[in-house]
Amino acid sequence: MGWDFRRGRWVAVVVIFVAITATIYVTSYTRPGITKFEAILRDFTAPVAGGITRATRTVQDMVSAVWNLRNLTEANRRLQTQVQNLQMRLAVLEGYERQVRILRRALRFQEDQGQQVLAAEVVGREPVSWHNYILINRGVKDGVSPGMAVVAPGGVVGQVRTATTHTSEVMLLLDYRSAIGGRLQGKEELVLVEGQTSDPDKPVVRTLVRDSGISVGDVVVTSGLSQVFPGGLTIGTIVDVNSDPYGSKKTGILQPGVDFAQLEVVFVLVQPTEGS
Amino acid sequence: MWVASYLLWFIGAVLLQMTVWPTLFQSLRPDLVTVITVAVALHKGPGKGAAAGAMGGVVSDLFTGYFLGMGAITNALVGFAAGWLGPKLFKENFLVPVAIAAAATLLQQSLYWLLLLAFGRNLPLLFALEKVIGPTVIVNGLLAFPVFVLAQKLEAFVSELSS
Repeated sequence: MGWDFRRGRWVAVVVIFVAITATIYVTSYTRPGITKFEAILRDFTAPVAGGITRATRTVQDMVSAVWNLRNLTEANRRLQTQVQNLQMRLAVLEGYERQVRILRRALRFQEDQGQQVLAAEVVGREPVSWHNYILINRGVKDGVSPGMAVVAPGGVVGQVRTATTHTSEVMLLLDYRSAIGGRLQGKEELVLVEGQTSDPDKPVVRTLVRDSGISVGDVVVTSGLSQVFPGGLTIGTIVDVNSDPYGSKKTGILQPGVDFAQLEVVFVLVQPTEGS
Repeated sequence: MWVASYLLWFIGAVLLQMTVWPTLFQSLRPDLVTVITVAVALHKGPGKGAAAGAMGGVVSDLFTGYFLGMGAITNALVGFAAGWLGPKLFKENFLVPVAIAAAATLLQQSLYWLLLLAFGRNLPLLFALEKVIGPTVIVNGLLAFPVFVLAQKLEAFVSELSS
């Protein structure tokens, strides 16, 4: 009895469909690690991604400098040429200045932290709009491992999800899977900061007690009770408060302290915090 | 040869989405993988369109790291649909491929959203439409024509190299 190719093709389609469904299911949860193939692909492309990002920022600085020149009047055309040259040089200098500012802030920030932090450059962001993570150019080789806290001068950024030899994927606090223990500064009330799907730019702050004293303007800092984040790091500021129909349970909407759109350098807390 | 060339296109496209685009435009994000899949499907038919879609989806999924296979299955379906529909339409008008790219993006993003729902990520429909699907459809529609022209030129270049 010969092999029925038409039937065989359908069997293959069903097998592939089941295999893909199983893969989606397995990878729909936070995995402890990633496959070797993914790690190689990421390590191989990270330097290219870093180079492209840096080149784009430089070109962006130069283009914006040239764009500004359009505001000058026609009468100043001769001077405009000189200004253009100066602007081009200025754009380059501004790039340096920005780097110096970032590094100075980084140094001061490192001193403030009083623990081992590792500066890392953001070399990429999620390729699709459905998830919230960034790719940084530090990995296992630099001492980074999954679960470590990632911060910036503005406050908490997120947590390392996976790490390859040279790169790490950081799940932002905006991600719907993120949950960070916090407290309201000055009120010492514990809260839980969670990413939300309905407005991913503004995480939700869940209060843990009835008749919470949460109010607009409150600053939320890390509680220091978790194994990941040391206490006192800024998470953000409450910009809105909603109550349940009975008025007993309140939730806040948080404006994160970090400007995620402008994130260029972050810091990984590579040393576990004592007593946390 | 075509497998390697498409693979490079898709890796390049995903890298652009991860680096250049978010640096220039923070909130709007294209889905170049779908645009390239449609370009291939319109040019080569449903079989290669589906294969290209699956390949591009796998590349995108590997970089994303979550829901591996979701991009592959949705883009493969879209590649097949665009390849099947393409010859039935008057492709000479440049607006037709652009409209197909926008419709294909709407289909791909909607399927992705449905699969996310099926696998436990409960994203409200209005949010998905307003924040992800709608903007991606618009950006992909705008990018479709230049991408199609570039893809044709690259295709001609690769054919010349291999002959």
